[in-house]
Order: sequence, then structure tokens, then C-alpha cells
Amino acid sequence: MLRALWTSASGMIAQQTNLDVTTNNLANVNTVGFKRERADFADLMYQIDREPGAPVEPGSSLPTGVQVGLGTRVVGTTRMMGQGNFQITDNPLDLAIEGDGFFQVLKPNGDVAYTRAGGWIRNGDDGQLVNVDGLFLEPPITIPEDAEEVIVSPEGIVSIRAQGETETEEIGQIELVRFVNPAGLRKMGKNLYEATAASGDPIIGNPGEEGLGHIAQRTLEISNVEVVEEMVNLIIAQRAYEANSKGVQTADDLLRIANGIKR
Amino acid sequence: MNRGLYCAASAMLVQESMHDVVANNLANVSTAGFRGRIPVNKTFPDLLMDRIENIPVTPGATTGPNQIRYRGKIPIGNLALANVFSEDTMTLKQGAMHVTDAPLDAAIVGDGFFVVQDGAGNTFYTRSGQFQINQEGQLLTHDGLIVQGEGGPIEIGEAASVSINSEGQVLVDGEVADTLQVVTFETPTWLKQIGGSLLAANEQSGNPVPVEMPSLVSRTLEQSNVDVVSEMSRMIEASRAYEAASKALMTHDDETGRLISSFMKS
Repeated sequence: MLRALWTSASGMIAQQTNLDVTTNNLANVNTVGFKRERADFADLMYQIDREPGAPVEPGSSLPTGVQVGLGTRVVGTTRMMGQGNFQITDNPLDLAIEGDGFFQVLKPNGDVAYTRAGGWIRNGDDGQLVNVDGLFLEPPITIPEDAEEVIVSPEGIVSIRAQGETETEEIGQIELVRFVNPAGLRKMGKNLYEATAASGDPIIGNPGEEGLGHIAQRTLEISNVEVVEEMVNLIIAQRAYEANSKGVQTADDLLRIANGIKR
Repeated sequence: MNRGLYCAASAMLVQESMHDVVANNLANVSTAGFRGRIPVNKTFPDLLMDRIENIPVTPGATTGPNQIRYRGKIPIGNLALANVFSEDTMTLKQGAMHVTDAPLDAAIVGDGFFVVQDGAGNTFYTRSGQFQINQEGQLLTHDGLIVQGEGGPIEIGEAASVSINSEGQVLVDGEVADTLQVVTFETPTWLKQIGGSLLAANEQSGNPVPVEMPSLVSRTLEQSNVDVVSEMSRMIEASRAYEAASKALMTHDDETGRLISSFMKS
């Protein structure tokens, strides 16, 4: 059958993925710490009908030959690690990372996961900091019951002022990690990332050191999705899908005509 | 049998290939750095047509003992008996620029190709500047091919910030680590497209020549240079030419049918 049928189909499938990625970005336009993704494409493969440079007659050769491409494929999704906007919340336990880095949280099975979402809550049992899904911040920080004010410095030092006191007391240090290739982290949903072979091992440090960002207290980092850009992507995906569907239709027309020859 | 029958069939096959090329261009309308291909069809090499006739040995003599005849050839003229899909050429037109804000995206303005190498040491060329970093801190493409700088693979290591400037220098924590290799060819249209946004050099394209002052745009991707409007018109053209050729084929069929049926009657 016509190669064009499958070629156009590959274009339509690729645009579907493009749409999937774009709609996920738009769905997470308000997700704290979300990093938008982009679908990247590459051409599939070429069927060489006539080798470029093949001699046609003595003394001359084909300049380009016949290379018919067989379509496109999604080669990867790139996570755009650009800084999201900051939202001032006035909640002392909302922490945003200004720059590179991830918070570490402990999953129930003991593994460490990484997140940019810094909305922490005091655990009801002992005042330990957990995220909205109840995962413990690593290394653990416990806010005592009598704390009246919690202060987190840009370097991640957590201090409290107890009731009736005037002096502050240091109770812990927030650590951040970064990766050689943060785009290689695996997304696990719920704002969490997992290290992979591609991301490299985590490089642990205190905020502000070794290329890690600073901590901004009473602030949340919101999604870095730009609605306008995603809307343009939607249009591109839809129109490119449409163009490829015309390719399928035309291939179908050709086959119909071919079948019509024999009466 | 009927020459025209095969001639029309060859035209249909060519239009099919035309459509294949157009479909591939349209499928890659979102592929960064993609170069569209233009299909070219040609007539099959012209044939010199001859008329076969009996010719007298002595010119002018129609009777007599010299009336020994033999078969001779009298040229009529040229005739092409088929249409062939001759070649398709890579276009070199610049694609549109899309600002992505990803620090490892780079686009070449004007002439030039990035140089990448696979694990076996084969060198390929690409216009697609969507680069990644692997766990060892090397710059590579989506498919894991290592991007080549002036001094081999570009080592970024555990840097906190990486960027590419307009001269193609890779800045790691503000220091120049290496410069991206940008090369061009004597005849880049002869490069072989091998898929995965890669191009391979061959004898006809010539050897890679470094571009003296490459002009890059950082945090930007060059889009595919496929123009949807012209592809659509080419698609309509191919579809209609196919239809017309099919009518020619059917007419031949009709004529042959009529010929057979009218002679059968008598």
C-alpha cells in the first residue's frame, strides 16, 4: 500500500502526543512547583530508492538520489526547569526555592523522592514537617509545640521563637539536592520526582551552596506553565494533525482511483 | 502491447511517490531543524523512434532485377514512454525560530550544522539544537549522540549553570568550557538524511568545513522549514495528476476493448 498512509499516520500520532503533553501542562497551570514539558520530534527513517551520487551515465551522477522519508516520531519530552512565578502566601511554612534544587521527602517505603513543592505542614503527632500527602521532609525538622514563630533563613536554617521568649533558637537545617541532569528525573505524580540513571546521583548541600538556590519563606513557587505558549502549541498540534489527516485522505483517494481503474 | 498503458501507469507510480514525499514533509511539520524534501519527476530518457520499412537497394528503382528489398529504419522523432521519479532534493531554507527559554536549546542562523557522534565513533550532522546533559555531564542529543565541540565531547560536569552563547561557546558556571563545532559542506543538498534528525556526509556532499564565524541564537529552536501551504498544493497536484493518469489508462483500456469487440463481430 501507499507509504504515505503510514507516514501521515505517524505525523498524526506525534501530534496526539504533542497535544497530550500540552494539555497536561495546561491542567497543571496552578500546580505548586510544576515544571512544564515539551514534546520533541525527529524524523523517522528514510527509504533510499536511488542512492545519492549513483552514476547514471558515464561522467555524471545523481546529485541527490531518491530518499523518501517515512514519517516522524516523538524522540523525548524535555522538562523545562525554568523558575516558576512566586506567590506570597504569608504562611511561615511555605518555602520556595529560588534557583536550582529540590527538597527531599521520605516515601513510606523508605526511598527518597524529590520535589519543588515547598508547602509544608506540621504533623499532628509530633510537629514534624510533612508535605500535603503526609510525606516527611528529609532531613526531619520538628517544630516544637510551644513555637510561636518559625523563621527559615535563605540558607535553610530553621529557627523558632518559643512562647514568652525573645531569643530565637536554631532547631534544624533544610538541605537541598540537585542533579547533573535534572531533565532526566522521572516524574511520579503528586509533584514528586525520582532519581534515575540518566539524572545522575543527587548532590546534597545547604541552600545557597554549590549552585543550589536559596530558600524564600512565606512563598510558594507556582507552575512555570505559560498559558499563551501552551495555547499556541494547541493550535499548532491541531493544525498539524489536520494537515496530516489530509495526507491520509489523499492517499485514500489515490487508492480509490487505482481501484476504480479495473471495472 | 499498448505503449500508452504502461506510460500512464508509470505516471501514477510517480505521483504516488510524490505523495509519499509530501506526506513525510507534513509529518515532520513540528520536527525541530527538519529540512523538507522537494520531489522531482522527469520523463524517461527519450527514445529515438524508427519506422521499419522495405527499401529498394537502388534508390529510385521500383522494378527490375535490382528489386531486392530489405528492411530498413527511417527515424521518426523522439518519444518518451514513461515518467520516472528522478530525485528528491533537501531544501536548505531557514526554518522559523521558536524561543523556548531552555538553556540548552540552540539554533544556527544561516549556513551550518552541529556535529554529533554515536557510540561507535560515526559522525553525523544535525540542525536540531535540542541538547541534553547525561549523568556524566556530557552534552548530547535526545538519542544519546554526543555533541562535538572543538575539543571533542563537551564536558559540563556538575555545573550549576550551563548556557550557550551566540558564538557557540558553551558557558559552564560563566567560564567558556568549549565551543560547539559548526560545519558546512560544499553541497549540503547532497547530504543523506538518515532519520532521527541526523544527516550523514558522503562523497558527493564533500568534507565538512568549519564555519568561520557561526551565528547562533541561544534558548531558541529552529523549527521545521516545511511550508504547509506549498505541501498542500503539491498534494492536490499529485492527487489530480494521479487521477488524470488513471483516466488515460482507462481510455486506453476502453480503446483496446472497443478494438477487440468490433473485430470480434465481423
